[in-house]
Amino acid sequence: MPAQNKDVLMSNKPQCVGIDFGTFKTSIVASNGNRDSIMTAVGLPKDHIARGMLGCDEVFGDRIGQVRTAVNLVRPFDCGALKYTDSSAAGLSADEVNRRCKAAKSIMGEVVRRVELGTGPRYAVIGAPSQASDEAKNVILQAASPHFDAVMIVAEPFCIAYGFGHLVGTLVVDIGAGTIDVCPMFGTYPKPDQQYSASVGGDAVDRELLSLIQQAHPDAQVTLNMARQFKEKFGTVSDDQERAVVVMPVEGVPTEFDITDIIRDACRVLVEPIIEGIHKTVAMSDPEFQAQLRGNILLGGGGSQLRGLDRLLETGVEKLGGGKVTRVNDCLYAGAAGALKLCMAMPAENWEQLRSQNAKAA
Amino acid sequence: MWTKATVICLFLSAIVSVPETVVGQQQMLGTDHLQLIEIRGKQRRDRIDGLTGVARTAPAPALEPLNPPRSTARQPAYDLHPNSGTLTPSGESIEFLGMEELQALIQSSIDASRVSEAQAKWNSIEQKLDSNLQDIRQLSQRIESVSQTPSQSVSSGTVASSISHLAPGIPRPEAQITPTSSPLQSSAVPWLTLTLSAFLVSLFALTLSAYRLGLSRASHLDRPTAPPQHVPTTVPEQYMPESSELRPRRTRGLAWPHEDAKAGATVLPLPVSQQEEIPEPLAPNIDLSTDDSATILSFETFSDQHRDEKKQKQEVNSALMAQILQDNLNLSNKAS
Ligand SMILES: Nc1ncnc2c1ncn2[C@@H]1O[C@H](COP(=O)(O)OP(=O)(O)OP(=O)(O)O)[C@@H](O)[C@H]1O
Ligand SMILES: [Mg+2]
Repeated sequence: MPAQNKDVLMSNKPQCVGIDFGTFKTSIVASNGNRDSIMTAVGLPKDHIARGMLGCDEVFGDRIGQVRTAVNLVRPFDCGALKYTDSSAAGLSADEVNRRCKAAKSIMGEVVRRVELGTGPRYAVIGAPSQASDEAKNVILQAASPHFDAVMIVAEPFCIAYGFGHLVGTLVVDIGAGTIDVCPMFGTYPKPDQQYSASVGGDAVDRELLSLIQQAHPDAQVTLNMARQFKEKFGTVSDDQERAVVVMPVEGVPTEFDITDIIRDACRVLVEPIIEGIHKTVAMSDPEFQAQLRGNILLGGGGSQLRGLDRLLETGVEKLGGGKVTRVNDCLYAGAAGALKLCMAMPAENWEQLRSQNAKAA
Repeated sequence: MWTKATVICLFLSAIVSVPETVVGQQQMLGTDHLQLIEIRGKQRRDRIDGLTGVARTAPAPALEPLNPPRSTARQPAYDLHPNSGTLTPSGESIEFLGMEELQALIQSSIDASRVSEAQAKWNSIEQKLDSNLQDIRQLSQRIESVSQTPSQSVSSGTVASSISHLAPGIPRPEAQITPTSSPLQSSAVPWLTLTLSAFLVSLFALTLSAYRLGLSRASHLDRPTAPPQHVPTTVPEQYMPESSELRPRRTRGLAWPHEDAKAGATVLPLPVSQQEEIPEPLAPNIDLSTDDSATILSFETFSDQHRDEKKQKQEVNSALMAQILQDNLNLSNKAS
């Protein structure tokens, strides 16, 4: 094949990506082999001086942590707003909604830039909560459409299951920052009413932990971000765990506190909603396959990393007939990798069809 | 067929060769034994010759096989120690002729006044030696008879025990006479041959099956296949998640009718038991004991099943893709 023809062919090769556009973090995996993950947040300079110091209008990823004091943080899907609930339900003003939509677009642009896609049609599959409202899905679509020729939105837990090839007889539980999504896999694409979503997640644990610490140690100076870090380091739901000794300043003096019991109690906030989700989805499904579902419960999302959660859930599922709980190894990329797999498995005609409809609508 | 015939041939030849080798070993043991007896007897005779001038007058054959079987020269003290052992072939105790005894004999024979006394002693010693000789002949006959009966399962241990029975003070010969630790003389040799030939036979059968399978596969390739898709349906290896758990499983096929999936109806998978029946691909169990044609047949069934499974998966996949596309078309319709 002449080199020129090859180049032409290569340039028309579809560029596929899978994105997990989460409340807390955004992961992207591309068909060119690149992948990245950043916090779903954008840092906007607080004033002109900060802007001059930063040398840009928006800060992303790890850099946010370094210049935290100079930026205002915008988390577009904070508390599950615009992702799971409508803006009205979340009580957001129109200005706030605009600000968040803009931030979502910027974050999407940043992650796409990071994977350095080649020329050729760009297709993306993006994960959304199982029962995301149409408004929420539109926010994602609008954020992504400037960067892609065609975008499909797929339920987050389905992406995880598809990535593993667990399309039959698996109950996927995605424990994210904003929501817990439970999705039974029967070999078909799950309908919204077959799935379960609870607007509880890692963020709820952080808030609970912060308030418990403040109650127990009123003099300790602590922020939500510190609470999240404590949770990620010592997070557990079991009783037999090592002591969680953390350092928090008291009037500027670093002081050690033992917050083992507090962390455990805060993390256990997640257990009830998960058990309820498992119970409801199993009860809704075909009676012949209920045992199979319970026997293959797959935990995904950052919350699945809580120590002892799988064992505690197995105990909780016992009163529903017993089951087996496992967790994914790579919770950071499991959803995005599944989305990419789906993106590449989607026939070209399907992408073309979606693309032409979008063109007509525009 | 080939496999069977070859395996049977090999098995038969192995059966024939095993006792032969064992017998050969026994014979070797016997010959060695006798040779050693000869050598030791000669040494003993020479020594006596050197020590005494009178020894020449004594009947040589009576002295010859005096020594019980000994194999190594590591215990030279044997001959020099007086009364170092007793031979008890028929229950009676016979003392060996020791150094001091001999010296006493020489002394006494020099003393002219005690010539007759010495003569009498000589005669008794001669008698003793004669009976010793008989015992040893008996022993060598036994060894010979043992080595000449192949069907009898006599091990070197039996010979050794009979020798040690005759001379309990003497170390068991098995450790010294025959180098049993030598791999070429051990009984492992026929088994090694057998294992090696079995391995070669299985290798041959495998090659044959693989060759035939290759032919059948090649014929499948001639059949028309579905047109290639523009977007690859599987994620390339490097884009796959790192953890093995994240990778799609080959084994779990999705099982439901093609028509249902295409019609978009709510389809349910087959019961678990049927799903689990799908064989693990790429790991056919080759049984060499079966006929080759049967092996080929199972390969064909296997590849058919594998193809069915793949086809089924593709159908499910395309149904899923159609459903996802429909959802997203609806969404973009609503948005615009
Ligand atoms: N080791 C850990 N232990 C406990 N929690 C953790 C750990 N690592 C991350 N998390 C929490 O998991 C959450 C992030 O999970 P994940 O990335 O799956 O959420 P998301 O996809 O961004 O959110 P969602 O799916 O709800 O939109 C955060 O609340 C984070 O604090
Ligand atoms: Mg998520």
